[in-house]
Parts: sequence; structure tokens; C-alpha cells
Amino acid sequence: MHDLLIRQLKKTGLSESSPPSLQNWLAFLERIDRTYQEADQERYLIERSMLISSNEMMELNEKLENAQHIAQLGYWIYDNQQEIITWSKEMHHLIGLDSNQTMPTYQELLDLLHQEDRELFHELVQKSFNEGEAFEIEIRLKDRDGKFRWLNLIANPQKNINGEYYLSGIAMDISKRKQAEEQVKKTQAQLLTSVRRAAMSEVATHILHNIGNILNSTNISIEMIQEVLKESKIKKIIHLMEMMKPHESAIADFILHDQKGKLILPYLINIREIIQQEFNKLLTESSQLKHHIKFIKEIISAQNILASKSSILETVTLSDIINQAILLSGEFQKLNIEIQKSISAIPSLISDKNKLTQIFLNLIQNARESLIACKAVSHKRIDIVATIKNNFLQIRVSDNGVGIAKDNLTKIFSFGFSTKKNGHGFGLHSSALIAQELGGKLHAESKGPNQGASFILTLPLNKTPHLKSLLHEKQI
Amino acid sequence: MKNKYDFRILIIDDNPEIQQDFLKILTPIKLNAEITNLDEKLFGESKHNKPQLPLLQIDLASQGPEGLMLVKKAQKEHKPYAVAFVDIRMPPSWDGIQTIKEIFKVDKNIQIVICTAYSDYTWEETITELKQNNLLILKKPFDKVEVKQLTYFLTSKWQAANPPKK
Repeated sequence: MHDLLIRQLKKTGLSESSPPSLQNWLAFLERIDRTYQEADQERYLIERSMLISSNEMMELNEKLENAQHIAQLGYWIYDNQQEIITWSKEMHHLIGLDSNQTMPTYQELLDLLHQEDRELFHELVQKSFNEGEAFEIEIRLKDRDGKFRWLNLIANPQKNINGEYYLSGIAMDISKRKQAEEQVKKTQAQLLTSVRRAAMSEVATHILHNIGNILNSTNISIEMIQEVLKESKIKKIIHLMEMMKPHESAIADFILHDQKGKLILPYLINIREIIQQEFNKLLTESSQLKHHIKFIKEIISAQNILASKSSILETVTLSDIINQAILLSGEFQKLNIEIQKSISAIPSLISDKNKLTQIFLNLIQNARESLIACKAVSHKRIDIVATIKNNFLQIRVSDNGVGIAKDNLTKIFSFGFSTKKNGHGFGLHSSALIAQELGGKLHAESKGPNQGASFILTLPLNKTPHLKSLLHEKQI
Repeated sequence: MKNKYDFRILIIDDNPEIQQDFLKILTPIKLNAEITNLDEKLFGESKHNKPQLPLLQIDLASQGPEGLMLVKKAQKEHKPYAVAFVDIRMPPSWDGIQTIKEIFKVDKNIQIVICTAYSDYTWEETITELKQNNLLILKKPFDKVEVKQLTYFLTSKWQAANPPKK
């Protein structure tokens, strides 16, 4: 018998074993009747609240689906034991399936992936099942129209009641972001090219000035040589010999007694010094010519290296590059700037010579300008020191010039920012970009204004720069 | 009393080799009177077949302020420069334009030639900047003849404007 019925019997004073009195019986019936009514009421209330909450659930679900649709984000679960994939409606949209189409299998999904992403994706999924490791990956998935869509997929392994892993996670359409990224990349590459061109023209101006000066001296040397030769007393000696020739048989008489012959000896004595001077002049000018031409050759060969457009990875010797950059940076001695180098112990590395030269050229030119602007320092110096730390090569270019305010230490690398009066603000910007391209980085240190500055280029040793970006560069 | 030189010339250029170039061009070869005499007797060459060029006293400066100082000093001594050759690019101090501006402030008569290896300023920009159009531009690399011509032309121009005082 139901506990409640036993209780009702007790309350009305009835027992199971004997029939009740009429009065008791009526009381009992009334109680039972009330109980049924209460139960009805309760059931009604429960049914009503169930209806309400299921409506709410549906509404909530709808909202969730709507939110997923807006976010272009789908939710999925993959059980590899049962080989079942379940996912939210939005996943269908994401891969361009109708919502009534059947769910693809894992293998079918793999086939829809871009072949470059397939292997890595499968590997990550396997690892996740085996080791319970979560992962996030950007993949390209072919939609119904055969176009690839970019998805960002996050997977999170969870254990079922049997202690086996199943994967759940989200996928999000990031095609638009990817497109924007591509655009940014393109713009950046264009910027880099124009920055490089501007830097080149700066170098060209510099070279033009240098070569112009040297050519000037070369020109004058040649003209001086021509002048000496034109006026040379050597010609006079030839004349004298021609004058003496007819008198060969009686030369002593000619020199001693002839009216003209008498003048020959005094003439020779007089021009001796002039011929010596002419000779010295020719010697000086020709050696200067040689020196100047050598200098022009050096400048041109340094320029040639810079002028090559394509990126070539090769074994480069740091000291060569730095010497080249110094040569291209202009005059130091005349400005009383001392350059100290400590770079000899560094092994050669695989990198792009052209690009490295560009960075050093920029850093050394900056140091030079900073020292020129700094009138207070008596012993102006630039230190170039290379060290190796944990497989990274660090080259530090320091000067004791005008220094950098703390606020500007990172700003100086941004495009268009310059602390120089005539600066255009892309030298350091492009150098930092190139450093990145070479797999390294560039940063600045300074204790503050008038306390000098250091620029530190860090490059990976034993690791070749990412070829892809360099190839990409080539196509522009 | 006649000066040992006819004109004073000032070269302002930061490059010592360019300074030497000017010196080489403007320093005439000394003629030895004895040899000239002998040349005439031995070879019948005439004494007068070469023009006698004015004698120049040449001073060198490698920076703008240094050049200005020399100009001021020359003014004070009443032995002003007739011509100055000024390089356009002379780091770290003043550039040529600035230098010329400063020089014109103390000496209005001086004849100035601007030397450029390439042009930072165009001629139009230069004369606008200096509010002055009697400037000559000498482009590097220059020839001996150009420098000589400029020097002799400008010294006579200077002399015409500044007749020697008695």
C-alpha cells in the first residue's frame, strides 16, 4: 500500500483490517478527493512550466544559432570511436552545405581540405586523440563552389564515461580577415620597396657627391700632367741635341766658342732644377690619379652590391659588410670620428648581403649624424661590437652622440618618425623590417638625451632566413 | 707701395683635395728670368708670347664660419678678398648658402662662385634664398680653364667696382 494512503487512513482513524464507521468513511473520502484535486493542480502547473521552459529552450537555441550565424562560428563534436561528427547548423553554412544535407565523414572533410593543410591537420587531430592535447589551426576548406574558405578551428579533447577522448570545438570563418591580411602584406611589401628606393637614392646622392669630388681632383691631375708635358723642358733638351748634332765632330769647339753653343751649358745648369720639379710633379700627380681611381673603383663596387635587386642567400662575412657600409657612409676622419670595430671573431653566416649592408649603412649613417649634431663631445666615437649568445649573433652599433629620449626608443622605428631636422623617418623603419625578414630583430638602447645610443641587431646563427618571404619579395 | 699680389682669393671647401685643386690651378708657374732670356737667345722664342696673369694670394678655409672669419679679418686689414669659391656641402657646419649669406653681411663687394658636385638647390632656389642674382655656379668636376676664366673675369669685375684707392 502507498505510504500516503496509510497516512490518510491513520489520520481519519481507520484501519486496514476493519471496515470504518460511516462518519469516518465520509471524512476519509473527502480527504482522498482533496488529494486528487491537489494532484491535478500540480500536474497542470508542471505541464505548464514544462511548456514554458521548452519554449524558452527553443528560443534560446534559436538565439544561439543566430549568434553563431552572425559570428560565422560553428560548434562541433567528433567521436572517432563511433566515427560520428555532430555539429551546429552554422557549420553547414561555413562549408557551404544545405542544412538538410547529410553530415560529411571525417575522411570526406579531409578531402575537402587544401592539400597544404591536410597533413598537419590530420596529425594534430591524431595527437589530440592520443595525448589529449588541445590545438588551434587555420585551414582552407573547399566549399560547394570549389572555392577555398579560411577557417580558424579550435579543438578541445574531452573524456567520455569510458575514459576515451572525443574532440569538441569551434570553427570560425576568417576568410575576410585573411583577405585583409593579404592586402596589408601587399601594401607593406610595396612600402618596403618604395622605402628601399628612397634609401637607395639617398645613397646615390651621397655617392654622387663623393665621386664628383674625386673626379674633380682626377680631372685637375690630368690637366696638370698635360700642362707639365706641354711646357716641359725635356723638349728643350731634344732641341739642344738637334742643335749639337751637326757639330758632332767638333763638339768641344762648338760648346766653347760658338755664339749659341756657349749658352748650352749654362742653359742645362739652369733647367736642371726645373726638370727635377717637372719630374716630381708628374710623379705626384700620377700617383694621386692612381689613388683617386682606386677610390672610385671601391665606391662603385660597393654600390654594385647594393644595386642588385634580388635577394640572394649566401655565406657572408660580417666584417666585409661592415667595412663596406662604413666606406659608403661618408667621411669620418675629417670629422674626428673614431670607429672601433670588434667583429673579427664572428663566423660567417648565411644571409642576404645586400640587405645586411643596407641595415649597417643606415645604422652607421645615423651614428655619424648623431655625432655631427653633438658639439659637446670631444672624443667622438662609433663602436661596432659583435657577440654570440645562445645561437644568436648580436651586433651592437653604439655612438656617444645626441642619444634618444626614452619615449622615442620605440617610436624611432615607426614609419615617418624622425628626430632629425631633415630626416624622412624611414631609414630605421626599413632597417627594422629587413631585420625581421632576415629572421632577426633590431632594437635601440639609450640612457637618454646626450648620453649616446646603441642599436642592436640580433640575427639567428645556424638558421637560414625564411625563403618563402624572400621569394615573395623577388616577385614584386 | 705695390702689393706682392694683385688680388686675394678665398677658397671655402671641406674637401682638402678640392682645396689643392684650386691651389694648383691658380698658382702660376714661376718664370725663371734667366731661362726666359736663354730661351730667347737659343731658340728665338719671344718673351711676350705668354699673357702675364695677375698674381693671386689664395687663402683656404674648410668650414663656413672659418671662411667668414677670414673675410672679416681681410676687411679689417683693408685687404678684402676679390673672389670666394664656396662649396655647397660642407658638413658639419653651415652649408654654402648659409656661408654666403653670412659673408654678404660683412662684404657686399666680394664676388662669389658656388661649387656643387650635385645640386642641393637649383640656381633659382639659390638666388631666391640669397635675394641676390650675381652668383655663378661652378659644377664639379670642373676644368682648369673654367676656374681660371672665372677668377680673372671676376677679379676684373671686382676691380672695376672697387678702383684702387690712392
